[in-house]
Amino acid sequence: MGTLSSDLMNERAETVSLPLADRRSAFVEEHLKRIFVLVYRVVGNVADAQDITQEVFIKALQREEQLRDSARAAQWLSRIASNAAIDFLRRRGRAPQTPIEESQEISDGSRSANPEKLLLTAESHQLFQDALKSLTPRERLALVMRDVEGAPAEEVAQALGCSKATVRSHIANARVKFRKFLRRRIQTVKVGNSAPVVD
Amino acid sequence: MRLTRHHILALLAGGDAAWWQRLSARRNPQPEDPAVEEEFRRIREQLPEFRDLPPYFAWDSLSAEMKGNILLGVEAGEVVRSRPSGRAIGWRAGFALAVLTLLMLVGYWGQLPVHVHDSDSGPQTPLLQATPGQLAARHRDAGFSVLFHESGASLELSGAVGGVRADFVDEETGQLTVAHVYLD
Repeated sequence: MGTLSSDLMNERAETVSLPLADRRSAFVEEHLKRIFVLVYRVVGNVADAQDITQEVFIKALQREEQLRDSARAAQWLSRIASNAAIDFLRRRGRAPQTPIEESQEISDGSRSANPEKLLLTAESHQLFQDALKSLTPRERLALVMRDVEGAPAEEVAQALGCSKATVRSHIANARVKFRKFLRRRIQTVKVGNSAPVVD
Repeated sequence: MRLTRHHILALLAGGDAAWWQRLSARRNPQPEDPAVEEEFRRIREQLPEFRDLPPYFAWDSLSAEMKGNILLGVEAGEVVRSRPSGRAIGWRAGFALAVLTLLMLVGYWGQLPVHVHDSDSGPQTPLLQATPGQLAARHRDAGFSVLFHESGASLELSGAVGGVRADFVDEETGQLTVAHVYLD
């Protein structure tokens, strides 16, 4: 029985010895979901997130020398994705975000799930996405990378191309705005619930 | 940007505050601080839940579509990049080609008839030259010149028989100097 590190080394050696097409496929498989979710959280809609994610991977796979070290490749990919998402929002200006078209994204597998639970999940995800919209693109990225993905501040700084102090400022702003948004939403719900019902 | 107390509490909740921020928060504590910090902490603890997409998301079909597009895009890019440049030659082949070209050039110059050009021995026919600064006569290796201190447009007579003249007026003294060279 091999140790964990030797198992990892064997796995890595197998990955390196794979043909180019298979290596590319494995690389996309490994990082696609993480990068898509990151971009989706920042741009706020599926179609744009899909386009940006595809562009990011095509760009990355064209410079395969950067992908040899898996850990560094993951960070590098996050950086390209962050820049692409911010550039996209900058190009588009401050136009209002398109809400998620839930009906198009319902998977077949989810039909058997508990509808009430599904509704709660959908509501919480929608609430999260709405809260993100109250932040600037850089604050959004900082919050998603630091608090959702759990990346260290240094990695966020690298992805955003700024200092750690600036990242700290983005994170603080994002958390304060996020809390403010949630408190406002709770107040709205309370007022809505206490309103007199007219028959 | 100057951070407010709530900003610092938000940073403290995630363990992101710098030492001076921690110090300033602990030095002047406000009664509501623990509750606010705790609220930031609770919100933060829930956020990793959104690391994944919601369960209603049709991820399988979307990822399959994206993966196909990405691999196709990469291959298409490679085809486009390789087309205009054609097949590049290696450095060894390039070096050999350069040496061969050099040898051919040396051989070509070696085959050319030697042309004796006696450019250093001066003009073959007598040459008279007059400028505001000088008067000169040259023939083959021999020659002489009368120099003034100015220079300007010149007049050259090649193969002529006769003479040339140059006048020079000294601006300070007004003295006129006339130089005349005859050629037989």
